[in-house]
Parts: sequence; structure tokens; C-alpha cells
Amino acid sequence: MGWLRLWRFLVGYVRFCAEGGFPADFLSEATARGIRLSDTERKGERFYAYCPAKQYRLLRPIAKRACMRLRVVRKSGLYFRLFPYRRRAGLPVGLAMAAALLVLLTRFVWIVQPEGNVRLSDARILETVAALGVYPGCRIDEVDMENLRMQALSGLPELVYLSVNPHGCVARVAVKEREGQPTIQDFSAPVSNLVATREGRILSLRVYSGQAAVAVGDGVAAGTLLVSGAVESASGNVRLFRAAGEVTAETFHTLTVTVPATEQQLLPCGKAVYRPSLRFLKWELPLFGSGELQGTYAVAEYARQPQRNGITLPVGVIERAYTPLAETAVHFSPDAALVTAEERMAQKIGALAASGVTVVEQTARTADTENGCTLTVTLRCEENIAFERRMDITAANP
Amino acid sequence: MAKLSRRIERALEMPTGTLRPALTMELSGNREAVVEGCRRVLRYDADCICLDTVEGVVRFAGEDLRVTCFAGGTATVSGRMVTLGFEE
Repeated sequence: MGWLRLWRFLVGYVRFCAEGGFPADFLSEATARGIRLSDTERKGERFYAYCPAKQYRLLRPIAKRACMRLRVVRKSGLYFRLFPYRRRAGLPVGLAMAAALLVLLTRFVWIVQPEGNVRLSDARILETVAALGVYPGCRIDEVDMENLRMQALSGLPELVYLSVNPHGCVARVAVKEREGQPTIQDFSAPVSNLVATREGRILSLRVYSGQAAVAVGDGVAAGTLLVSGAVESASGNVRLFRAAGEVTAETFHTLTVTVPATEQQLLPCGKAVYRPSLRFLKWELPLFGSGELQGTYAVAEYARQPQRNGITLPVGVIERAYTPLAETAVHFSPDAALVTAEERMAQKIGALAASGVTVVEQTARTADTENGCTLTVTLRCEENIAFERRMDITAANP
Repeated sequence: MAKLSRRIERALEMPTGTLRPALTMELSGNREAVVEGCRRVLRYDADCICLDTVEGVVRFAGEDLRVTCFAGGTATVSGRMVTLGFEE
């Protein structure tokens, strides 16, 4: 029944009612003349049927001979929907152009979509493949895939596999990231010692190569020999190695942040200038005048692009807000200076932790709020203080 | 000619309607009948439909009867059929 309804919609059908006369003769003659009546129904003196829209006019003389009077009950289908627009030439032209444009655009890549990356960012993959010719708006059949794969893998050492798979207008960049490998110690390298980078108290020793020169609990100063690459055997012979190991020590770091009472900062001033552009694939059509912007500006970009199934379509409006910046003298009250100093200190501690140092506790804290704020913090930390220093074996024995 | 065709069909044990147009009817319970070899509709009412076929008149009687399709010598009659009769 669904197909029949679809066919009726495409062809255009009329549901009509014939009253009086001889419906059997009417039906027989209409069929004999090749008019396809369907779903005929008799209700009292009325006769209902469906008829193709173009054949309805042919029914009138037949109805007249059968002494019946015709009346249209319902008209449906594409034919009747398009009938009011028959004089609008722009409509079919627009439809044809849209179809042609669609066919033309299917030859280009609309979306480049990375898949399989966890640690590596999408932006970095997109940037790399764009430099090698895969970007929204490119012709995928013009890209040398093998060459792209080789160059992309050499540009992204974090990957072991990369493949660009065209899927309609979407170029899917399938990647596989390299698994982390343990560091392989190169014992063939020149002989060396491990010395302390800063003073501290030894908490643990893990010597992979060489001979420990300190013990757990020892206090060491910066430059103290921790692991020696010269190992003396029981027979008194000395063999030279490249020392390797980890020496974790308790250390103390003192961090200082100073916020003056008056500080010059680059701050927004004045109204932001909005400059929208129409984006389509890789092209952008500016929707603003060509006036140059003077001075220093902070730029914020807002993209309004429709999404479908989690994929951002390559069409939309990009709005950039240019906010003018100016050197401004910022005055801090003692309290505000302390708050700012606290914020900057937190950033500094975060940077220290990111460098591999474990902050155990804060042991001292002083804040001098005279003429701004100077915040000093002492941290008790645990870190690997071993630093490899090459051994000069040509030097004379003192 | 029709009689001769019928005799040949019988003699050669061919299916009826191979050599000449014949009335073929396919019934789906008492709800639908597809009649092949239909020439015209003689009577069309909700309680009675008469079809002129190559082998006489077929008469359907019942309730809510209708001809859902009639084209190419094939008529489809649907509704609740109570009696089915043949007339020469």
C-alpha cells in the first residue's frame, strides 16, 4: 500500500465522486478507453474512485454518456503541489543549479575527521595532513596517499599508523598511536658519574650501573658524587662504566612572587569590533569592510557551524571579536596584591609539580604587603636529583 | 473456434486458457476475488456486482462490495462476499 501511495503522489491522483446514472457502464467504458480507475466504491447512489490527474478530463464525456455528474473530492500529489509554481522559471533553474552544485561538490572533501587518537590532539593531526594536501575543499583523488602516509608518519613520531580513508565527502584520518616504550640505557656511551643537582637528603637509591657513593639518609650538596662510574673489583682493577640510576632526595624549594603596588598590564580597552565571515569548506567570505585595525588587539573566534551526527559541517558563520588592548597601570591594594600573589604562586607551584617534582608540604610562608606584596613560600619536595656528568678520564691524577 | 480450442486443450492435456481466453478466478477467502477474462461491469452496487466475462456472467453478492481495480481484463472485487453465481 505504501508503494501505491507513493506512486499516486508522484503521478498525481484525483479522488472523484460520480452521482446518478449507471456506474457499471461508466466503469466499463473508462477501463475500455484505458483510464485506470482504482479503489472504486459505491455508497448509495454515489460512486467514488481514484483517477490519474491527467486522465480526469477524459472522464467527462464518459460520465455524460453514463448519465452521471462528476465532482472532484480531493486532489493530491506532486503534480498539484507544483502546479501553482508552473510560471516560476527560477524554481526549476534553481533546482537544476542546486543539483549540479551538489554533484560538483561531491568531488571535494567537506570534512576531515581524525579517528583513533587519544593522546595526540585532533588539531595537530589536521594541521599535519592539511600541509600534505588533505583539507576541506581538496580533491581526494589528487592526493598521493602513500607519500602522504610516509610524510605524515615522519612528521608525527607519536604515530605508528596513519591512513586517510575517503568516505563520501568525509576524509577519515585513521591513526594508531605509538605505545610507550621503556627507555633503553645505552651502556656503550662514554663513561660518566651521577652527581646531585641540588642539596638534599637521600631517600632512596636505584643504581642501574656504577657504584653508589652515598647511602640512604645521607645529606648531599649540589655537585656531590652520587653514583660513580669507576668500579673497583676485588682484585683492585678499576673498570669504567656509564653510571645510571635514580636518586630520590628530600629537597627544599623556596619560591618568591612579587606583585608591585602598581603594575603595567595589557588590558582590554574600548568596544570590541566584530567581524563576521561566511565559511564554506576552506574559503571564507568576509562580511565586513576592509578597514585596517590599528594597535594591539585580542582576537576571540566564535564559529556557528551546524552539526550533524557529531560532525561539524564545513559551512557556517565565523565571528571574530577584536578587542583593543592598551598598556594600563593597575593599582593593587594590599589585599588585592596578596590575592594576586597567591594566584601566581599557585601557578608557579603547578609548574614545579609538572617538571617532575613531588611537593610534599609547605613548610614556611611569609607575605610582605608593604608597597605591593612579596610572597615567599618554602616547599618540602621529593625529586630525582641525579644528574649525569661525563667523566674526564684523560685528566691527570692529582 | 472456442469449442475447437477447448477440445485441443483437453486432448493435449494443456492447462485451460492456453489457446483461448478463459475465465480464471482466484479467491482469497470470502474477502477478495481476482477475476481474469473480464470484459465489462454489468452491475455495480454495494451489495451486488455482476461481471461480464469471456465465459458468461459472474455475480457476486454480499456486503460492502467494491471493484478495487479493473484494468487489462482483470477485475479485483473486494468486500464481504456471501454468494457467488455463474450465469450463461
